[in-house]
Amino acid sequence: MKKIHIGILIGLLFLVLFPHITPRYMTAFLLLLMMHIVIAESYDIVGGYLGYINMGHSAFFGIGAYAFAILLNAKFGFFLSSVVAILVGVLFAALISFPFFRLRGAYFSLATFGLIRLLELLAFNLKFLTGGSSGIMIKAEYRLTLAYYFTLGLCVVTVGLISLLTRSRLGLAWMAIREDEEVAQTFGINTFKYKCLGLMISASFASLMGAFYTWYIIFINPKVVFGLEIALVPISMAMLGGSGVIIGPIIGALFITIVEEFLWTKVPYFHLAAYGIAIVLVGLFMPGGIVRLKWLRRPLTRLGWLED
Amino acid sequence: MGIGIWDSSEIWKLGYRTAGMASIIVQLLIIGTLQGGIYALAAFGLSLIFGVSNVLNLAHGQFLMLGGLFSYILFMATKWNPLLLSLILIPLFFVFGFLFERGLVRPLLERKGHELVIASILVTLGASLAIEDITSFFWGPEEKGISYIMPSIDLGGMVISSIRLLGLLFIVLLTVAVHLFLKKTYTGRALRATTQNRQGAMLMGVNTFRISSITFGIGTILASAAGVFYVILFTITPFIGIPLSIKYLCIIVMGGLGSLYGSLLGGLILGITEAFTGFFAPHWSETAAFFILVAILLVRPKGLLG
Amino acid sequence: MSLVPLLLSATLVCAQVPKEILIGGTISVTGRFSTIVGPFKKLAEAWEKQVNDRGGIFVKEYNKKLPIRFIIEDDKSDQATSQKYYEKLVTSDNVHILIGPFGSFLSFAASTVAEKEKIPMVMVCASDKRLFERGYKYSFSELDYADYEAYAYLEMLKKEGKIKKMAMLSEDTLHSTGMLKASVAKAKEYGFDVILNETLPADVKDFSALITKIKGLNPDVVFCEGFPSFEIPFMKQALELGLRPKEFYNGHLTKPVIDALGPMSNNIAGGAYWVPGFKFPGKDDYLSVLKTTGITWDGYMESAIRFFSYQALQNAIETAGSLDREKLTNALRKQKFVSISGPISHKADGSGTIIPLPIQIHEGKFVSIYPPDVADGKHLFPTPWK
Repeated sequence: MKKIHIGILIGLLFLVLFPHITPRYMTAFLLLLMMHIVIAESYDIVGGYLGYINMGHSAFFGIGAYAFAILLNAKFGFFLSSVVAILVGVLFAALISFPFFRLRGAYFSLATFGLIRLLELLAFNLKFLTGGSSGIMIKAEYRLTLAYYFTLGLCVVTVGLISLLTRSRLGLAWMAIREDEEVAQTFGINTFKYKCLGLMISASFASLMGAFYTWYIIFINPKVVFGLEIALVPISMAMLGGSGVIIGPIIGALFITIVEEFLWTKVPYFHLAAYGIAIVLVGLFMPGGIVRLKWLRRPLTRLGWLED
Repeated sequence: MGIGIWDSSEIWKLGYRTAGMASIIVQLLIIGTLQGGIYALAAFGLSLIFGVSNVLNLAHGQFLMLGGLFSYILFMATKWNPLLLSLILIPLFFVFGFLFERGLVRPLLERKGHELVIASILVTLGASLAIEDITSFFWGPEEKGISYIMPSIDLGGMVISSIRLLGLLFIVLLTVAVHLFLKKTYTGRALRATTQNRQGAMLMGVNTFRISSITFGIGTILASAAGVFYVILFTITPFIGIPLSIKYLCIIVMGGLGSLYGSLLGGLILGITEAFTGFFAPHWSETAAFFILVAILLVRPKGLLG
Repeated sequence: MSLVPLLLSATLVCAQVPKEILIGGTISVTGRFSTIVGPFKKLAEAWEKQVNDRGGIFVKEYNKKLPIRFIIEDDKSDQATSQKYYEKLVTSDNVHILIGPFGSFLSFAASTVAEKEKIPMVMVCASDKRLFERGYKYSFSELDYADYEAYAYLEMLKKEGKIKKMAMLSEDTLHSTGMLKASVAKAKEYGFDVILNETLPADVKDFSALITKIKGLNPDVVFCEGFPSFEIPFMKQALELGLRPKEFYNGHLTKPVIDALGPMSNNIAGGAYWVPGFKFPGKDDYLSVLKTTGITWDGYMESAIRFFSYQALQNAIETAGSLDREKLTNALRKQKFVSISGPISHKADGSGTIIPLPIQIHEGKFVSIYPPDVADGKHLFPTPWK
C-alpha cells in the first residue's frame, strides 16, 4: 500500500499548490468539484452504507448555509458561525431521525425529498429569520483562494474520516443494516442508534460545506440552497460513480464535472439531455456505478479500494 | 409574521361580516374539491403505475407537460375545442407510456430492494432531464397557455369554475370506470394480481410484463389528460415536469403506495388544504400542503390507506 | 506554468493594436432563467454581426474601427457557475469588457469578479437596490432600481385621478416582492386605498380562494406583479370567476399573456421597456437584430434591455476612445446618451435611469399610454366589461 500513500501525498501537494500554478478560473472549478465531492460522500454514508436513499441530504447543506449566514450577519465571526452551522445541522439530523427512520425504502426517499421542499418553503415564509425570497447577503468580499483552501481541507477530512469510519465497527453495523435490517436487529445491533449516528455524521459534513459555500458566494436564497439542482446532482454523482464505496462518489463527481466542463462547453445545446441520457444508461446497465464495471472491478479490488 | 397575514386577518373579518362564515367555508370546500380533482387525475395514474411495477416514476410529470404541450400545439393550429382535441392524444400517449415502459422500465423489474430504488430514480430522472431539454430546444422554453375560457356557473353568489368541474367529473367517472375494469375484466384482475404478488400472478399464467406495459400506458394517458387541464387553467413550460412529479409522488405516498383510493384521497386533502390556506394565509398555502404531507407520513408511515 | 513568460507575453500584447474587441459574459441558456433569456446568445451574435458589418466600433486610440467578438458561456442560472465563468473570461480569455448575466440574483456574484479584477461590467436586468449598496465601482446598470418599476404607472393613475381602491399582490421572488413593497408605499403616498397586500409562493397555481376574497373587496384596480407563469393563471382564474375591476395591471405583460387570455386580454395595463411606438434612436437596429434571431420583442421583452445594454457598451467604448479598463469604467460612469428606451445615465452608486413605461393591450397589440410625449395611444379606462 505504500505506493498509494505516496501517490495520495503527491496529489494533495498538487492540490495545495493549485491556485498558484493555474488560472483563477480553474481554482473556482476545482472548488465546485470538491464541494460536490463533500456532499456526495457525506450522502453516501446513509445512501450507500446504510442503504437508505436519503433524497433530502441537501437539507443539511441548506440549513448549514442559512445558519452560517444568519450568524455571520449578527457579527458572530467566521469560526463561531461555522461551528454553530455544523451543530444546527447535526441537531436537525438527530431530530428527524426519530420520525423518518420509521419509514423504509421508497417511503423514506420521498419523505426526505418532501422535507427539502418543506424547508425551502419555510425559508420563503419565515421572513424575519431568513429574509424570505430576498435571501441573505453577507459582507461582499472576494474570497476565492481562501474558500478553496477551506473546501480542500473539508474534502480531505470528509473522505479520510468516512474512510476510517466505514472500516470500523460503525461501518460494519451500517452495512449489516443495509443488507438485512431485521436480521441485524435480531443479532443485537441497536439499528436506530446506528442509523441516527450515520445521519448525524453525514449531516455534519454537508452543513459545514453549506457554510463555506455561503462564505464564498456571499448571497443565498431558498431556491439555491434548497433547490432541485443541489439536491439531485451530488446524489446522482454518488450513484453514478458507485454507491457504498469510498472512491465511488469521487469518481462520479470527477466524471460528471469534467465531462460537463470540457466536452460540453464545445457543444452549445443538449447538455442537460446528454446528462440525462448518461444517467439513464447508468441506471439501466451499471446500477452499481462506474466503479463496479466489469473491467474496473479487478484492478480496483486489488488496490483494496473495492470490497466484494 | 409579516404584512401578508396581518392584512388577510383584517380582510377575513371583513369577509365574515359581509358574506357570512358558513358560505365562505362552503365556497372554499368547493374550490378545494375541484382543485383536488385535478391533482387526483395525475396522482391516480402514478399510483396505478407504482402498484404494478414498483417504480417511482419521476418522468410522470414530463408526460403531463407533454400532454399540455401537444394540446397547445393542436389548439394553436386548429383553434378547436382543446378538450375534444385531447381525445386525439389518448392513443398517442398510450403508445408513449407503453414504449417508455418496454424500453426503460422493464429491465429494472427484476431488481430488488434499494438497488431497485436507485435504478428507478436514475432511469426516470435521466429520462426526465432529457425530455425537458429536448422539448425546450424544439418548442422553446417560454410559457405556453391556451385561451380557452368556459363561463363559470354562478350559484347565488358562489362561483364554480366549469373547467375544474369538468375535471372533477372526469376523475369521478374514471374512478368508477377503473373500479369496474379491475373487478370485472380479465386484464383488470390480472393487474390486481400483479400488484399483490408478482410471482404468484406469473405462476397463474399472467403475462406480468405485458400488464406492466399496459398499466404504464394507461397511467401516461391520465398524466397527459391532467396536462391538458393544466395548459387550459394555468401555463406550462418544459421545466414543470420534475417538480410536479415530486409533488404527485408525495401525494400517492401520502395516500398510501399501491392504494388507488389513497391517491384520490391524497389529492383531495391537498386541494382542500391549499384552498383554506389560500384564503386565510395565502403566503403559507404551499408550506401548509407539504407540512400536512410530511405530518401524515410520520403518523402513518405507510400512508393513509397503505 | 511559470509566471514570467505569461507577464512578458501580456505586455507584448498590450503594446500592439488588438485585432478585435472582446466582450465576455454569461447567459442562462439552461436552468430556471432560460424561460426568460434562453435564446439570447443568438441576440449577442446578431448584434455582433450588425456592428461588424459596419466595420466595428471606432476606437480613437488606434484611430480605426475594430470588430467585436462576444465570448458567451452558459451559467445554467447558477451563481457559482456564472462567477466561475466570469473568472475565466477575465483571466483566461482576456476580454476587454464584461456584459452581465441575467438578473440581480446572478449579478451579485458575477459583479464581485468585475470588482476584484477591476474590469468594467455592464449589468443587464440587474436592479436590486442591494447591488448598489456595496460601494462597487466597476459594475453599472442602465435600469433604475427594481422598486421603481411601477412608479410611472402609479403616477399616471394619480394624474388621472379616477381610482381609489387598489388590491395589490405579487409572487414571492426576489424581484417581485421588492417591487411590490415599493409600489404599495408609493400607492399609499399617492393617497390610494391599498385594500389588499399579499405575496404568494411563486408556484401557486390556484388562486380561487384569493380571488374570492378580492371580489368581496371590490377594488378599482387589481395590481398583480409576477412572471407570466404566475400572472397568467391568476388572470385566467380571475376572469373566469368574474372578478371585474376597472382595470387589471400585470407586472410582466408579454405576448404569452395575450396568447393565453385571447380577447379577454384587452385593456390590461402593464409596463414595458420598449414598444414599437417609441421614437427613440436605434429602433431600426433593434428590430433588424431581432429579425435575424427570430426572437420577438413582445415575446421576450428583456431583449430590449439587453439591446440597450449593448448600446451602453458601444457608447462607453466610443466615448472612452480606448480599451483601457480604467478609461472604459470612467466612460461608463459618466455616460449620457439616448438609447432605444430613452436617455441613459448613471447615478453615483452605479444604477441607471430607465424604468418601464405604462402600456396597455388594445385589440391584441401593446400600446404605450404615458407619458404624453411618448404615448402612441390613449389610456382606455375603465375597462368596458360586457
